[in-house]
Amino acid sequence: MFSSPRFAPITERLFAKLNSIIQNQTSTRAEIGSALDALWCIGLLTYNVVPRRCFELFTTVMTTASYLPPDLKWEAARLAMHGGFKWDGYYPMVSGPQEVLAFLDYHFDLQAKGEDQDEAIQYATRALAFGASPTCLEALAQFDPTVPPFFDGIRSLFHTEKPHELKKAALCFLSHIEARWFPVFSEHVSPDAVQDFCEDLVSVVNEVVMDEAEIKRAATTILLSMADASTFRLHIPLHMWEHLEFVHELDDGSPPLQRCRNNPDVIPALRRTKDQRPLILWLAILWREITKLDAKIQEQVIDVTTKAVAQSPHVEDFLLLLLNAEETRLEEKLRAFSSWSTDGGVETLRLKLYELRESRTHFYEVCEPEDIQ
Amino acid sequence: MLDRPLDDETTSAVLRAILRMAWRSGNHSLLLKRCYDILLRSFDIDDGQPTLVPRLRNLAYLSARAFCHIFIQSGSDVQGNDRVVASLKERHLCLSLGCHENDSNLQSVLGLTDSLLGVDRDIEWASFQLSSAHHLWVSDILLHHACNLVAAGMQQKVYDDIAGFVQDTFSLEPPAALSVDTNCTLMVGLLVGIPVHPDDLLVSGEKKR
Repeated sequence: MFSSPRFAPITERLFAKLNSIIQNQTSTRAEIGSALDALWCIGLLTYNVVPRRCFELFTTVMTTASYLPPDLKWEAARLAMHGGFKWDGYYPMVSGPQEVLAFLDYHFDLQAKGEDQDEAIQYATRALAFGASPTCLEALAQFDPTVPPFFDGIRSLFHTEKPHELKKAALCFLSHIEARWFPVFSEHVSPDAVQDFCEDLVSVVNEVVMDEAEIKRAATTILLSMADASTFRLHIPLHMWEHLEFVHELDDGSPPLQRCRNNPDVIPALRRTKDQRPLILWLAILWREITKLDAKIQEQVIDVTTKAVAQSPHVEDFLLLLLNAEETRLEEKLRAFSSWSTDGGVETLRLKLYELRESRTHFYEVCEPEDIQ
Repeated sequence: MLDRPLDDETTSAVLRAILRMAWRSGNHSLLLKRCYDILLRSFDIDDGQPTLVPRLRNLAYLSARAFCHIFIQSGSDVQGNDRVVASLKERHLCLSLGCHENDSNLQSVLGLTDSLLGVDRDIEWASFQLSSAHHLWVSDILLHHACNLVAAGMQQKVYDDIAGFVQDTFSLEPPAALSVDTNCTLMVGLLVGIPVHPDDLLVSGEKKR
């Protein structure tokens, strides 16, 4: 993003002035009104400095401007949030979620009273979905999304009539809070409501999943969270299971992936699906690190693999292809470093490659015992 | 020069020269009237309805621009009407209502002319596709207008007069030229009382066309 010697100081000066008007307890209503007019206009600009300064202004409004009349305070917060997160090209970093959650809390409440607050909610959801820093993600993991008005508010984000961009942000946001959402969801609603939410969620995934890699990762995270939770697993349609093909895009430490790997109910659920492709994909995922799995899961994997290979020899070729592809991927990653490197990350990669090769040997032993002998 | 009968080509050259100059001081109402007359000459007026003469399209564009240029730079947009300007306002017919959809530059400058002469009609900036040079000229001239309003203590009118243009400019995809965004940011600054440096008002319209 370019800038010019003339443009940047003018913009900085403008935001300094907006800050001073907002923070000055003696500012008149007319002065604040003019500042909000200016904020609305400048918030439309698409230069990195504008979203960043708008979000700083948002934080100021939410933390220090308690003396502002409530209508002006929330209008200022909405305009600053709009300027901060309207644009796909750059997201300011959100270091802590408290102010954004307070903003969402207020607007979810208004929405519950029948007001259309989609726009405000959309930008706040984008802030948490796409702007969250690692610290913010850690704090979000502690946030309880099942308290009112969040529980109903978050569910409403997935309704069919909501804007496309809001649904995308909602999917990513949900992937950040999945650990405190899916396992307890059914405690708060009727079974019918679980089914309704699942249908909305699946429809959103279908609608937005092809958009960007980040959205694919979010959709895959949510699929795994649903697969891990017994009340949701039943409602996963076949085509959603097929998003397992994007699991390789998740970090190995992804919590729902770890939970699913250790969940003995996932393989039986996959065996019940009409198409066996998701099951084979899941087997390939588990075969990558089979020696690390719980003994009971290892037994399941070997049993199901043997049966699947017996039914169709192509299964063996396919699984082997995926294991070899994974090996190539790890080798390519390693090639970026010196062979002599003792860096911790490189050591981890070498270990993963070693374990993968061990797993592949084990795979041969299971699928082609006569060749091994 | 405009007092003498001139052919269209020479008139256009004189209008271009006007656009290269700054008209900050002095009374330019007679020149304004000349520009306005040239503008009206580019229209057939039938039953009070002005229709652009197709072959005079360029003359209409240049004369309207020259009119706005002098009108705003000389401060006629905020001063009490002198006799000449008052008579122009009295006889003015809305010119931007005609069909100029395929010429956004002309449509927009006619809209500005109408607005300066008291026609209460919003300019639909979002419906235009301005050339980059014309866009820059409009941003220069509106910045000057906003400064005039602030200097005349009419700050509350700034938002009404610039918001549509600024919002449309800032929403453009791909973004407008940085000079246009800068001018718009300066206008936004005026809303909150940040003064504009005189150098920011050095309009050089024609060379940017």
